[in-house]
Amino acid sequence: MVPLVNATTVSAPVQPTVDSIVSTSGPSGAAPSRTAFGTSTPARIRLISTGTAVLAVLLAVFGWISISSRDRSLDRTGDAAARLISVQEIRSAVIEADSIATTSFLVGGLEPADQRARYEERLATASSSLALLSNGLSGESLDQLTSASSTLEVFSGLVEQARANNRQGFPVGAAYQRQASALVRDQLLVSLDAIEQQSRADVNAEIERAHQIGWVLPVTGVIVIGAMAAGSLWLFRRTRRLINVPVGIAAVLTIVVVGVSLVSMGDAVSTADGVVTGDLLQADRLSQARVAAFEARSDEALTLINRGNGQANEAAYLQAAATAYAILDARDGRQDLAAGFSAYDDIHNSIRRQDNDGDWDGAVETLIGESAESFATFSADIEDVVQSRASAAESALDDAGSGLGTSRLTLIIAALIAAGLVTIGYGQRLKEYR
Amino acid sequence: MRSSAVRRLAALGVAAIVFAGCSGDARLPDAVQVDVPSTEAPVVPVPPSCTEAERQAIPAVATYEPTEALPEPGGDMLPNSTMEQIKDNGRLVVGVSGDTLQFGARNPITGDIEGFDVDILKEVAKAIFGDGDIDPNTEGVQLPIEFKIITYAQRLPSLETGAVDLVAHTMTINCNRWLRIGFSSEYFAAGQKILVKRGSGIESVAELPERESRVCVPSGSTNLEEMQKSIYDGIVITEKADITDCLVAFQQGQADVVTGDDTVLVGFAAQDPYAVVVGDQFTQEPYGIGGNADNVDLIQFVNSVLDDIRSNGRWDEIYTTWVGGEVPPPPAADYSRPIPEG
Repeated sequence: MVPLVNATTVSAPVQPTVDSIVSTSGPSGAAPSRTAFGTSTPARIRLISTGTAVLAVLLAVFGWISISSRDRSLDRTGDAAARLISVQEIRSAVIEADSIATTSFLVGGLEPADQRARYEERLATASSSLALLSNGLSGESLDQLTSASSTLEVFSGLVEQARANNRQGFPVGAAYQRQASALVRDQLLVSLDAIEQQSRADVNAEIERAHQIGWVLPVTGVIVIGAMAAGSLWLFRRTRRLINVPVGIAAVLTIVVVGVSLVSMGDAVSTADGVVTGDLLQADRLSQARVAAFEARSDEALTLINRGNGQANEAAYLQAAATAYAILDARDGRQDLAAGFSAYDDIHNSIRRQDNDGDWDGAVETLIGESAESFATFSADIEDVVQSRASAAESALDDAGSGLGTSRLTLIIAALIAAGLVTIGYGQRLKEYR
Repeated sequence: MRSSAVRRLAALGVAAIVFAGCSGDARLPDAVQVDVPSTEAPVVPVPPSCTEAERQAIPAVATYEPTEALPEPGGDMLPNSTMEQIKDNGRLVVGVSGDTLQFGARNPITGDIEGFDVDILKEVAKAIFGDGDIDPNTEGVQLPIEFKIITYAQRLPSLETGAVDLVAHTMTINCNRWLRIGFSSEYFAAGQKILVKRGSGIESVAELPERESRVCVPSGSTNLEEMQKSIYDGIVITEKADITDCLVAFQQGQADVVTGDDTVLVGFAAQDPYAVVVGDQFTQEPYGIGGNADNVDLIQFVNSVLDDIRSNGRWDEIYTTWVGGEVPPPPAADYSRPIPEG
């Protein structure tokens, strides 16, 4: 304020000259308006200069915040998506381990070595992925994760007890196997399901936030450009000098840089949108189909373990198979995978026929032979598709925000340059009053 | 082939997914839920109970007089009889335990169901279908018999719904069960004992209430009925669907004691060196083969088969195979139950 007052006093003697220039064109009402401002023209120039420069600096700050927060939202979308993919991988691993354990139980001590190796690999995957998943989880989800981890340990213990008893010919092994499978369905998958739902909700919340914060930068940009335009217009009216080069450059620079930033932010968000509705959705859906298929496979084995008495397990099979079909047969589904599952499902029907006709041994034979092969083909196919979709989604989400760092830096530098240009430009006009 | 019933049901779900995918925002829809309507009506069990008068009127072990003479095994059955239906079906469908060592258990090596109960049922199958063919691979007898493994709680319902023709599942004959199904004559005399941890100091069932022991019993069993009597007030009862689940609970420390028929508990002790069967039989558990209450002819037929194996030494053989030791005389049959009208 002090320099402003000084300026008023210092420039008072030249005021009439300026006034005479202005009064030739300015409206007669200019005098009252000026008195209302209570300042002289150079003071106003200074005011406009400082105000516009401050706005340009604010543009740098708000732009930085806006781009950063969008960048963070996209990062968090990526994190939530990675978590979703990871928890689905764990679900698949756990349910596959369970389905291997139940089918192996049917063949007793004659469990094939590669099946055993696969079981152990799946269990190790589940437990190490669970440990990794704890990063970035909090509250309810973290509790669910802790409970899932300890349940997984209990599960593997029960499966080992079932095997040990089975190897000695003790029928209590079947009871341990039942308990292990029940634990997976009633507790472990329920916990993982909760984390999965939460991750899905997180993806949606973060991508929505990335959309919402889009107005800060354009509004600030419009205000800055508006201030430059209004200041230039006022100056034109006062001085009849059509254009001030530095201010003009500043305006153009601001328009360009805000525009480029907006385009790159829009690009980033629409890339992320595309991933969420594209690869990520596909990975999510197909992963659910995969889990449902393993559930069906496990239920199928349970119908035979509960020899001739597997109605409840058959009902569970039908439920799981319907879920798999619903996803694979959907308009955006995968007909090729649906055909693979259908081939397996056909064999399941013949297993049920064999069992219902009293040929339990034949049914077991089919289950560990023809049916196992068909299922292995399907599960390898769907695993490939899920993994390629999932990694495509993850890397695309990582890349989505990658241009934002550059555009943030460009915006900050350009806005500061604009602030400088504005000061220089108005300074030139101000010199004319000295 | 391309449109199974499940798939058609799933198609209803597909429409829902497509619809959900149409909303404008980029977001992941919730997990896919497809509900397949359950085909099974819920069973609401209201177990009937005998009055004291009914209990006194006739001994529980009393069954129907057997048919005069069995037809030639494998030959023509009585026209329009249940046996003829079974023969026409091509197999005898039976409900057995899958995990009761020595009575009905799956041999994990061969995958066969074997035990005392199973051998008795095989005698019935032989009487209907003949001696069966010798399997060239295993040299075992291939009988047209289908085993369904059922839990304790499923024994009566599976007979009532006709899911199985006969049940031999260490099942005690008693008055309450006669209200729902029919029984053959007694084929084994068991009694309840208790299974405890080695070195627990428990010696008889009478000590359980004061020790406030945690006792595991299977649902729908006479073991449960016994433990619910007021003299056992003080114990903590844990119910499991099957008695083998009680062994699991015992091994996991969720129960201190398993009460059950001595036949079953001996099998448990054989699977767990830290478990011992203690005390005397504190109940009488006469085992009978169960049949649908309406199939009186089948029960009479089974009684004839049991009469035969009691007298021809086959019962003794089966006893030696599965129980061992000194062979007691087979339980005597009581045929004082009047055959229902019609």
